[in-house]
Amino acid sequence: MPNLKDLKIRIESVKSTRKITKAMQMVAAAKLRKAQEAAEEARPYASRMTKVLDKLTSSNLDTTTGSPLLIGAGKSEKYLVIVATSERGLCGAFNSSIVRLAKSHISNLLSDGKSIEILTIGKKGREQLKREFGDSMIDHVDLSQIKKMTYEEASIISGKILEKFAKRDFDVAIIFYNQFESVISQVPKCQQLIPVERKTETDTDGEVEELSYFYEPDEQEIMEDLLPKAITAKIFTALLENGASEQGARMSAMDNATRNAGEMIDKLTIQFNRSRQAAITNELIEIISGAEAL
Amino acid sequence: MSEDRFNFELVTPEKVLVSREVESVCIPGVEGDMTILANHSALATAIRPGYLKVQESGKSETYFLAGGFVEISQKEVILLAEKAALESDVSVEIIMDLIQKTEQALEHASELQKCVLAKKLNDLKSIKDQLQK
Repeated sequence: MPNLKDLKIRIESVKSTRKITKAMQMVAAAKLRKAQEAAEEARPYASRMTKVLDKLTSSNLDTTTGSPLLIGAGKSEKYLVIVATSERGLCGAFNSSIVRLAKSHISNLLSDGKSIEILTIGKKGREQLKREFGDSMIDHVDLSQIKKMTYEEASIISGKILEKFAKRDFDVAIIFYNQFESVISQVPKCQQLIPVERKTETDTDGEVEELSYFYEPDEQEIMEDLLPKAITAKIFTALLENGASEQGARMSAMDNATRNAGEMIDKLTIQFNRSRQAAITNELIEIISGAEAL
Repeated sequence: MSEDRFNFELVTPEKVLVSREVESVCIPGVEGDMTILANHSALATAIRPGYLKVQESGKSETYFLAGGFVEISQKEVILLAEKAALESDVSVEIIMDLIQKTEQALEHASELQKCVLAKKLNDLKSIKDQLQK
C-alpha cells in the first residue's frame, strides 16, 4: 500500500491538472463562439459564389476553350493533397481524424498509380504525415502567427496553389479539413478544389430559369477573374470550419479530461482515507495489546 | 415584393453586409458605372474598385468596394465583393494597403491577369488621390 504522503502528493498533482484542463476548456469555449460566428458569417459568400458559378457554367460555356481551372488539365495524373490541421494539440481526435482520412485517400491514389504532392496547413498534420510521406511534402503553411483567419491569408495560400497549377505541377487539387457540425461532432471532409467542381447536367432539373447572361467583359475574362476567387473562398471557408472544429474538439476533449481528473481525485481520496484509517486502527491495536501485556 | 424594388445582396467573405429590398444600386463595373433598377436584364460583370450606391425609399448608402463580381438576374442582384466597407470607414491607409498588395500581385501574375491588375491599380490610385484632397 502506498504511504500517506505519496497519496497526498498524487491527489495534489491531479488537482492541479484538473485546474489546467478546466481553464483550457473555458478558453476553448470562448474561442469557439468567435470561431463559430466567423465560420457562419463566411458561409453565405461561399454558397453564393457556388451558386453564381453553377449558373454561369451550366449556361452554354464551351468545354473545350474554357479555363483549365474549370475543365481540368485534361488528365488527372498528379494530385496535390492539401491537409489542413491545427497548430496545437490537446484537441482530441481532431488532427488524427483528418490525417487518417487523408492517408487513406493518399494510399488509394498511390495504388491507382497517381503521383501525389502534399501541402500541409498547420503544424500537427505535417508532423503526422512526415514519417510516411516525407518525400512528397512540397510546402507548409504556418498558421502559428495568425491570430484571426482573414480572407487575405486564404488568398495568399490560394495564390501559392494557383501559381503551381499555372506551372502544371499538378492536375487535381483536393483539400482535407474538418467540417464543423456541432461542438461534439466534427466531420473530416475531402473536397476537390481544382478543377472546380460543378453541377452535372442532370442536377439542374429543378432550375427552370435558364437565362443567357450578358457578360461584361467577355465570358473568358470573367471566368478568369471569378474562378480564382471561388477557389480562395473555398479555402477560406475550409480554414474557418477547421478553426471552429478545432476549438469544439478541444473543448469537448478538455471537458472529458476535467471529468476524468475529478473521478481520479475521488478514487484517490477514498484510498487516502482508507489507508489513514488503517494506520490509526493499527496503532490502536498496538496500544491495546501493549496495555494488555502489562 | 413591389414592382419597382428588387432584392439586393452585398456579400463579402467575412459577412453579409446588405440583404434587403432596394430601389436602385449604382455599381462601378469594369466597363463603366451602371445603375440597376428592378427588372434589369440578366448580366454578369466584374467590378473595379470604386463606390457602390444603394438607394431605397429616399435614403442612400455608399460603400467602398475593392473589386468583385456582380450577378444580376430577374429576381435578384448578388454582389460578391472581396472587400467592402461603408464610405465613411474608408481611409487613405486602407487604400494604400490595397495598392501595395496589388503591386505585389502584379509582380508575378500571368499576362491576362496583369492587364486586369494594372487597371485595378489605376482605379485604386485615383481613389486615393480623391481621398487625399
